[in-house]
Amino acid sequence: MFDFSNIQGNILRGYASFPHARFLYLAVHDAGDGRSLLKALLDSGSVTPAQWSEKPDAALNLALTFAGLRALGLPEESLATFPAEFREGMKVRAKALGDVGKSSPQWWDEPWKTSRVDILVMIYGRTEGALEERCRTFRQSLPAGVTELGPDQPAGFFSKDNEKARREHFGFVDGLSNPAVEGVSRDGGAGRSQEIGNPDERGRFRKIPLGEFILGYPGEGGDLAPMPLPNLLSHNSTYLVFRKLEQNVPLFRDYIAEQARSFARTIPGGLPNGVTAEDFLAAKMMGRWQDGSSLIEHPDRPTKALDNGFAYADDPAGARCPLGAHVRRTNPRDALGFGGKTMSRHRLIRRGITYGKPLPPDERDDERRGILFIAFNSGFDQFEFVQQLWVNFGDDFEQSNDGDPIAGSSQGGQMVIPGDETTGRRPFICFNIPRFVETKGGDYFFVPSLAALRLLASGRVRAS
Amino acid sequence: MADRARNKDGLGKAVTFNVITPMNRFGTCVVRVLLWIFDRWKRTQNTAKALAFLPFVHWVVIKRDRFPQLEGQPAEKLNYDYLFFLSTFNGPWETYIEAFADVLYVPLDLVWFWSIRYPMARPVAPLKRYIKRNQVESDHSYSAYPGASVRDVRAGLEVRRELELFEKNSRDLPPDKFATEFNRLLMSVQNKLGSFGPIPE
Repeated sequence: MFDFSNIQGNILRGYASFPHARFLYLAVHDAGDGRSLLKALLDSGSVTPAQWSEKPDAALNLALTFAGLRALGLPEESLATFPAEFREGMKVRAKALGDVGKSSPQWWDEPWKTSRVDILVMIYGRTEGALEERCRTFRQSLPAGVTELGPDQPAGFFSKDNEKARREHFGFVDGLSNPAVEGVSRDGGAGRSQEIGNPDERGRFRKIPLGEFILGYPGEGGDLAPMPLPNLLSHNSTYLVFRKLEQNVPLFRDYIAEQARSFARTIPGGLPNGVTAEDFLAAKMMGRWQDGSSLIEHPDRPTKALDNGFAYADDPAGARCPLGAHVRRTNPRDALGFGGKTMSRHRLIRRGITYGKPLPPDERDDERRGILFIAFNSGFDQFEFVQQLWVNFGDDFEQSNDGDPIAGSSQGGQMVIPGDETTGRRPFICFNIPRFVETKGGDYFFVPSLAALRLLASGRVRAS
Repeated sequence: MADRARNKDGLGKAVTFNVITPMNRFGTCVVRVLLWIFDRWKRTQNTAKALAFLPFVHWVVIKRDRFPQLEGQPAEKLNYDYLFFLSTFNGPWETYIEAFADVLYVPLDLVWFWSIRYPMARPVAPLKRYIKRNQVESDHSYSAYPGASVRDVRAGLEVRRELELFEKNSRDLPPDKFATEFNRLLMSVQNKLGSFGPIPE
């Protein structure tokens, strides 16, 4: 049994009741001041754990880059035990991640473009007021040797027509499908009904071992992820991928509108009642209807049903959900066969949150908007595999070199939307798909447990 | 060293993989029997074929006195026979080992169990360390289709077969029947039309 009170809160909890957020970026110039900041935060109970007796009005969580750990004075023999991807950081990994062209680091937003972020501070509020109050008190606590790098990053959930589910800027309900994790019960408040585990040999879903997401526990196949030293530093800690992903909403809408005219001609009996060709095409590219309902369970029209226990095995050719669709790539469930064994080590806990104002339908503007992609994994190989092999490449899904039509890195790629023999709908190929999502910043972070934060604050870390 | 072919367009998709491990005489006998059984009992081969990132897997036993020598080179005095594992794969090294350990661990353990200090396939971390210690990098790689993965080759063959069938069946058809036949063709190859080529550098 693991200790919820020692794990930072936003890993296993979705913070759905904290719709307002702000991300602050810190540089540590003085190790002593950096450590005293951590100590002050811990002593005042400001770092939010996964377990609380009463829901707070605001939550605060911290993560550190490799440079940040070094700036806090972590000895080299400990630093050397961290994984290579983390030591290199996201800028160095840019090419491998598909952050090229306008997504390359030279085009990133500040502070990512020119500064070195040491500490990422994630502050969430149940209300705008609670968020601002927590940000204000946090900023007051900053010692002289720790400075904030501007600009900070406001973010928040938004929904449509007062519905409960939150949306991302292309209009889809987001955050639906996170891993169901062993030992995390729904009763504890951390699990949600839409969470989904990995498929087993019988085609059912089983919960995923905690070790896939938290260091120090067995993961898939009983394997322990490599642990940085000392163990107290890594046990109950994890790694975070933070990416600022800008969504070009007008470009997405224009492309869908243009392609939808041709797509509509592939449907012999016409579109189902109440469904536009744009809705249908966008759903095929995403792999879900905009309201979040599954294309597998509801292939003809959206139903607002958010049941998430569907599988792809009965749709091997992608007649309902295309093989190259975004959600089928990022969590293929049973689509790859072998009882899920070839996909089970590549799951991520996603805690993304949108930034920027939503663009109303039929409007255009020059505002910048997107999603802060936040993913937790017990090794960056999990994220990098998904990004490189499933999002930017397509071989596992019979798509050869074609990438994810929504989030992939290719410019001018293509996607086949398979036909459906039962309805007579013909296959359709989307050509010249622009890159709708550009990377504008980010890095790889270590998320220490509360005990590890106290160890870091003490400055008495020994690797052995 | 070259673990994969490369041409002017980029890196090839097939990565070479060679592991050579020592075995005692008893192990050599057992492994020969096992390989003989695997050769005839197709289940393991079929599973390996279904792992579509796997172009090629081969085990061979090299007796201690059968190692080749250059002209004039004296024969080495070896204490063990050796099991030579040759393969190519598409994708990352770690994923390849993990898929082997998760899907094919039974034949893997049966054959490699007789190699000195083999740690068993699961958990996979000791297996990865074992393989790293015993892996031999390739000096040269050649690939007839460096831009093609196993799935690309299979897809290409299927598209050709379907096209030839279409060419035969659609001759002299009136437009409406030609359209029907064309749609049938498109449906049959719809998931074989991805753009392929070497991995851009």
